[in-house]
Amino acid sequence: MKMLGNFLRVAVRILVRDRLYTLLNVAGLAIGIAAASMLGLYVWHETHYDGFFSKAGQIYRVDKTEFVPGRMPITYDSTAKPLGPMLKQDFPEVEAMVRVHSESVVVSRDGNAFRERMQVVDGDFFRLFDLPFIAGDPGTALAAPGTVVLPESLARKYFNGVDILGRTLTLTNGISLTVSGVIRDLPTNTHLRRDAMLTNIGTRLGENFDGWFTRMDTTWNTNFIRTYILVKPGTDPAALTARFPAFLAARDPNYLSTGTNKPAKALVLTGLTHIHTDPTGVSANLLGVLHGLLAVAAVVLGIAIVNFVNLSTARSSLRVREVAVRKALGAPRGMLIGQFIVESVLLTLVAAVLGYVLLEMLMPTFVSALGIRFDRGYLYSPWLLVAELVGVLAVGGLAGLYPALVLSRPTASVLLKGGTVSSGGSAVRTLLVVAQFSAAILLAISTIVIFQQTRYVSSQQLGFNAEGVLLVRELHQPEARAHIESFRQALLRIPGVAQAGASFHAPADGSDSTDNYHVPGTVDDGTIVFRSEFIGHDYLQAMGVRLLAGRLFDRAATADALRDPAAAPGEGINNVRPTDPLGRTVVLSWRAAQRLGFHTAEEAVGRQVIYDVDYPLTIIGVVDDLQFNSARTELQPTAFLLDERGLDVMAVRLTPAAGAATLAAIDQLWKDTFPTIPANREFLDDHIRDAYTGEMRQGTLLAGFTGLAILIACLGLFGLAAFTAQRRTKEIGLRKVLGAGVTDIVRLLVWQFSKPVMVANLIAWPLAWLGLSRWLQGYAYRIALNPLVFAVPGLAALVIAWVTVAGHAARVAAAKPVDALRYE
Amino acid sequence: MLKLVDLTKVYRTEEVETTALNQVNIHIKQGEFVAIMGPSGCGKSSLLNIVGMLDNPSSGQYWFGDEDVAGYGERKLADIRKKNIGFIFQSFNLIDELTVFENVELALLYHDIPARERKERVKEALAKVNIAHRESHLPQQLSGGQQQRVAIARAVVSRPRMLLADEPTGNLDSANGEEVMNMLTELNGEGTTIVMVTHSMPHAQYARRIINLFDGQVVAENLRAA
Repeated sequence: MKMLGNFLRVAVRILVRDRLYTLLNVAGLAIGIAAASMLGLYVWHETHYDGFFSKAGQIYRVDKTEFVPGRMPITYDSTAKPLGPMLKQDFPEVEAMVRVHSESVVVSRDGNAFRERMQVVDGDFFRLFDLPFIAGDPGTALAAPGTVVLPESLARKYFNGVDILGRTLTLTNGISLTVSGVIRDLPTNTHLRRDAMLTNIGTRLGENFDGWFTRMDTTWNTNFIRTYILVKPGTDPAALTARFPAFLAARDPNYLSTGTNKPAKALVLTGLTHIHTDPTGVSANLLGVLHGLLAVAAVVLGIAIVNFVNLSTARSSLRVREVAVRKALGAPRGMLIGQFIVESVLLTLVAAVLGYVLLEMLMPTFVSALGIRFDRGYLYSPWLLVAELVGVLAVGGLAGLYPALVLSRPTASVLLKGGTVSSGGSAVRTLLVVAQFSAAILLAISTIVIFQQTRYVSSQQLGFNAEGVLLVRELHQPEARAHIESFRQALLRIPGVAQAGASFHAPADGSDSTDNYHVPGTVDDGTIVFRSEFIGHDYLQAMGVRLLAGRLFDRAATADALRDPAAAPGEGINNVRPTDPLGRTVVLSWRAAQRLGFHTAEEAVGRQVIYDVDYPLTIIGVVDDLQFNSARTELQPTAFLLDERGLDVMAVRLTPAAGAATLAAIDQLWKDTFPTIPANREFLDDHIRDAYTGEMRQGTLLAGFTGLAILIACLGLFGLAAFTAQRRTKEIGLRKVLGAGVTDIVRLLVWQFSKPVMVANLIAWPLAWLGLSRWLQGYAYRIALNPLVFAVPGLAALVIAWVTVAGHAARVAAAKPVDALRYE
Repeated sequence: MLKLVDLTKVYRTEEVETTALNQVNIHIKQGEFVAIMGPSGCGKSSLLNIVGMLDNPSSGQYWFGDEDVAGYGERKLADIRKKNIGFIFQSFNLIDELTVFENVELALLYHDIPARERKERVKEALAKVNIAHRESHLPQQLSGGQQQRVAIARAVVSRPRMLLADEPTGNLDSANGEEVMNMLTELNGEGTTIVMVTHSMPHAQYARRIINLFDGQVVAENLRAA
């Protein structure tokens, strides 16, 4: 114990004496620890979704994979409404089943309408998802229709409290629901909606919804509801999945097995804890991003640790004399080793504490920059503390052990004579510097390429003019449907509005409706699949598409008149299905026209194409290809069809002169026309950009951490340069005596540190090339890798290294040579 | 060649002020061989450092040729030094990582001399001090006398007008010491001005003039009959 006190005293003195070194060492490591902890916590958070439900291991979501000829299979998390009850009925190992449908409802408070999410769920919901109740009984809260369970925040929003069992929540359409429970707000790491109310699946939510929702009870080809099952303990999900095809064949009247040329489907199970990171649905690519972030965290921390080890070992070689004296006075080797390790661990501990403080301070910024939700409680998780402690001992021990072993080995007399010790250490240090800069340059190149690609995809040829288009949504609301055309007419009267047209979906909405098409006289083998966009007459004009041949839809053209959906079939149309469009004309994208075998756009105009099975359409125009999805997907051949039964979004093209007054007038018009529907508008270009926020954030995040990595690497380089300058003081003095000028000395030192950075470039370039080429493969439209992008970060790293080292070198070089010689 | 007028050097630390040189006046002519003697701490090394332009005086004048360099900055001093002055140290001061050849070549690297001529001149200098056969050795592999011969080769390879030697024989046995002194004499014979600090009276006798310093002041000058 006495010895430990002595070690600590000496350690503290040395750390205080070599302030610059201590500062560099601690700062670099602290930043590295903070950065890696942030990323690590985030990744941990993202990979531990839904694990807190007590039966998480037995809960699966039933997903559906669609096999459509001519494209990759796609898995959706939406299923048909009858699926859940049938599963429960047919499979004894399914203990309970819950379906979740999210419907938007409007609640009024103090005269203002608020759109809220209502999760329509089966009564067993809380049996699967055991969320803590503040009021009410989980067993019965959702047992009957007409009740509602609110999360705490919504309870406070509408009732100013949580003691509200039995109170009534009234929707603007007149429906009343009785509050049967209040639950705590959901934690951040669940895939369930946090801000939603819950009601029984039998609850009536309004005429329009009720009719449709009841119809769905027997409909197998509309997939819209999420189905979760709770299986008996010990059930093998793979064995269960293997029995699904037979089940579907028996239950689903439309079922077609895979392996035919027709669209087919299969059911798959996704474990509850894997839903968030599963590539199905909205969180696509998340797992890849998380792995990437983990790699970045490792790189940043690695660079910091390398610094620490490098600086520690470098500095220790300046302590030969001290070690020699201690040895001469009889210190055993073990004690010397202990001394170095105590010093090193102490320094690491200081860095870890500092890093933790940084983490505390920066985590909120980090979380909001990422746009994620994150409970602060994770910062205090014991696992984090244990991990940090283990890290401290490992890094501190490692950094201390190496010099301890090297310095304590030779005998005192060798050391006192100033014999050569740890000369091999400098080679290791150079190697580590090379590794650091390779990693930093790799990160920098990746960041630039990700930025470039993101900008490219968000600004690439869309096929329409996305600028100056306002999207006004919610027209599918029952109270709006009948007034779409009059609303459109009113819009056109507002100064600053040039054109307006409605559609079912806007670009980048993620809509994905496809149908089979074929030319009359050919065999429909199901291989020609186009994206079907159902639109109103004026939509294409409002979007500003480029017409290649023919014309766009025209209200004045009799050919474009809509048939009456209620009228009896006739005029050569025998079996009109409810899903067939209301128009008899079609506008095709150029790719679609080509796919049908037309060689020019003009050739297609006036010809016929069959929609689905036997609904004939006349091609009136061909437009340039349009990008309706994110650039990850290839341009899809598209057919534009007239319909009005699902128009939801109005594309309003504004004149360049339109300003705030125009927007205000549109908002006012909405409020006057549809007072019960909350306004929902956005600019199309913003909306498209939103589709790339994931990539944008990845880019920003990467840029930030690349900056950090380079900063930490430079801190290390700065420290090493200081050390080298000090160690080479005598040599530099001599060189000056022999006539070396300041520039000669600066050049000497700068060159010494340029070499590893240049070698690092040679290592980073091919790695970056390989990695980024693979990453870009994920995009249908991608930039070419520009050699300049590789050269610039490399050069920048070199320049930064120069600046870092040159300052030191200049100071040493400018000193009077006599100081250098006297040092000896 | 050089003239020191009322040259004073004061070292200051936070607490003490030490006068290393006090109003020193010395005149050294081209081609002279001067020995500076005196007890430890008398200011010999300070004087040599200033004469060698490794350090600036606190006050006074230092005329080198027709320039007063006393107030010159490091950049200017380095330039004059490089062209005119060679150094020999008691502890040789060879760079451990460089070979004998590279150590000597170092003195030419900072002059604009093409590689081929550099090589020739290094070989020539090494031959002159009889160490040519060891040119690819590292300093640690040589004896003290050999190391000092390398240091002399390095000092003369750039053909300085003046050679400053700080106890060049201090770390050598008498036989090696004699050899070094003979070399210096020979160089002086060829016209190089030599200023040498030494503790050894016998070695000081090689010089033509002996300056005695005590407490930072010149206390005696003795001319030896040629």
